[in-house]
Amino acid sequence: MRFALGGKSLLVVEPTGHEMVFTLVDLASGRRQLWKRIASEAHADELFVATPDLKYYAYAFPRYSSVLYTVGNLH
Amino acid sequence: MEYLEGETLADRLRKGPPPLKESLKVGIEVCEALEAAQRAGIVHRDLKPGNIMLTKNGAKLMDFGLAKAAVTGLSSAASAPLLSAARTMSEATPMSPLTSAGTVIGTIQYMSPEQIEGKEADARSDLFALGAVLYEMAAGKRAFEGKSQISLASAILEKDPEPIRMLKPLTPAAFERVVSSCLAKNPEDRFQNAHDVKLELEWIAKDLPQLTEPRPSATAKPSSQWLPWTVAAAVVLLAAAALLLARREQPAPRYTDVSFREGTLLGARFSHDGQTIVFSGRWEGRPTEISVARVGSQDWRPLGIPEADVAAISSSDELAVFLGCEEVFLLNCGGTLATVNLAGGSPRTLAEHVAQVDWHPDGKRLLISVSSPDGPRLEFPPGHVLYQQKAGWFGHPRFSPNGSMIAFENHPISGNDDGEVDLLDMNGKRSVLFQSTSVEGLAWSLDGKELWFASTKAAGWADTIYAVTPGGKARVVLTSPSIRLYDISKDGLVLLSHETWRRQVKGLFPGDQSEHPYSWHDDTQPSGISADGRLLSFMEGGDIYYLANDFQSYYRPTDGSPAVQLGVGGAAISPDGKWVVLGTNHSDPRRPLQLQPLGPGQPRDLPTPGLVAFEKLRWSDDGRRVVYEAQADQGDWSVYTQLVASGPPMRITHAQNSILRFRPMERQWHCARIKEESLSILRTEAKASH
Repeated sequence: MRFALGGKSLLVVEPTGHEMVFTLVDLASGRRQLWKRIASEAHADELFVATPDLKYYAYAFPRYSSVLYTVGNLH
Repeated sequence: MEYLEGETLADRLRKGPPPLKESLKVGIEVCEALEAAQRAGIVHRDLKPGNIMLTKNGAKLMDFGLAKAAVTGLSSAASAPLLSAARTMSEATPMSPLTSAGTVIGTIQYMSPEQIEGKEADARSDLFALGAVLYEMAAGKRAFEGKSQISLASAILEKDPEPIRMLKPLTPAAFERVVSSCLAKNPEDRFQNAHDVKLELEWIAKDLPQLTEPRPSATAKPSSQWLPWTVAAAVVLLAAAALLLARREQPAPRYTDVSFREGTLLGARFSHDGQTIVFSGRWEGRPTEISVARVGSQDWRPLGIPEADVAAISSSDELAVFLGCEEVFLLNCGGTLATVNLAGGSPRTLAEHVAQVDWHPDGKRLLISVSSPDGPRLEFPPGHVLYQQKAGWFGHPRFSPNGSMIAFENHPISGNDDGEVDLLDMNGKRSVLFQSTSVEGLAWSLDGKELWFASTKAAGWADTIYAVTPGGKARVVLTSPSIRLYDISKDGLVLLSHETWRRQVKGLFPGDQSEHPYSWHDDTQPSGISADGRLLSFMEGGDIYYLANDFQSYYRPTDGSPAVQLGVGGAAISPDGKWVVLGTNHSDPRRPLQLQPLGPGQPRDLPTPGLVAFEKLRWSDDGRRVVYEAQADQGDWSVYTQLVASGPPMRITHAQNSILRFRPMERQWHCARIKEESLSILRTEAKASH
């Protein structure tokens, strides 16, 4: 979540598991408008930055990787 | 160029540790070389056995040309030591077993803590490396060891090597003291120059005959007053030898890969007989599936239950599974609880919205954990609340083998793996066994006398398996980076995963028609963007974080130009693209927020008295203020704002477990808050904090 468009709107991010849904909330009217959907499992909006006019932006998306092991000789 | 005939110390060490007299001679001669180098203002930075040539005329220290290049490269950026070290160490040799192809950092076996942390190396860094070489010559093993470069770096940063005299009881105490001093973590605690080390080694060498050569027994029979001491010394030596023998007889941990696929793991358990592994994950882009593998086999087969996650296996090999994934925490799913036999069949649905589960040892009853708006609760049997608290989540509940106790992870904050390892009796009485910044899985030992769990005593993800008794006595079983513990089999095999997670960046910048990747190293997180979209600041974690114990910040033009390093910690770029504000969230009162110009100008500190750590740095849209969360020296985190031009930090509010954003007005701040899924706009006033 962040203020946007000169402080007139809030950009609210909702993580849904597989994507981030960005909604602009106009603070005067309360009107909501879908701004963008980004396919990402990112949960924190700290990983999203944008210019105040929302023309340019960058975001991080995670890459997880696991390796399962059995480990012997532990005491 | 001088031609040197002989062998390197690395070659010599392959034949076994040299006698102490020879080690001292080599050490003294290396000190003389370092002494000359230090007088000339040169830091070697890559002192290691492979760079010490043993010739007829004595030990020669080689590779000074590289040292000069490395020193030159230090001048501009704080990370230069790390990068130049990578260049130095990238020459894989048979004596650098930990060098791995394709990684940024090569072997760091003899590197000082300050070099690993990316700080500038000086003469004392060479003395650390000398200490590691002396240790290896005397002890017959390396001073610091690790299964990976991360664990090796961690050992250098945090651990002291095993005392030489535990391995070589006849080593003079004075020699051990010299080596220990060289290996001090803090450069201030080491010898300050090679000359002093040389004098110490020469003094030890002079006394060496008395220390190591036994007196002829015919002329020096011990008198009766010495006899008890002689016997006592012999007992101590025998005990040390027995301890050493016991340690050497203990075989190294043996890792066997089970998953063999690219993907993420969600759950894993052994079957009752310990011969089968059932694990669930998302592999190669496919939906979650449960797989079955035999211990020791490289083959696995899908169990054929779509979108399912294994949670527990009973004594009769009945699986408790979750259908669908309701994520409790990172790669930790709950969902609709069902049971199905390992031999096959259709799942039988039991309950919805269950977070965790375990079978009672009787194989008939289930323990469940449920998350609700009133907080998480443990129910045994389902419907009967055994324990409940107001917030957080419970992880990996496990019955003790005799069913008399339940161990579980107690995480007080949702979305976070900070927490405790707790023990619960059947009356719902809880006790805390261990507290940590990360608890990632637990299992009971075979005899039920210990609880093993993955955790850490540092910041970050679990990196150690501890064993703790119900009485709270803990010991370390294994250290390995980024692990989660799942189970222990009847044969004593441990089922654990190694987790890696990296972030990559995409963005849309001036001139772009569509988004494109914009990562720098292996774990990039954007932290700010200029108002015109032409400059991006970002932090790098990943390998750099593990080696330097902090993020490294950079900025980069969005036209594809290379990144420029800013320093340690987080950073945010100002709207006009002329400044960055830089700070670290590692508590250190000596490191205030810093403003760095991206063009001409001098860096300057922002006055932040009483604040010791900083994160979530931002600029106001008008570029006049920075907004950040900071930790006061008493330990509380709050949100602050500060005029860049002048003035103290102004405290706005507590940094709570909710999302806050601020809009500066004339005298007030408008605060947008998301808490408990409701969005509200508040007005608040900033007050001077100090």
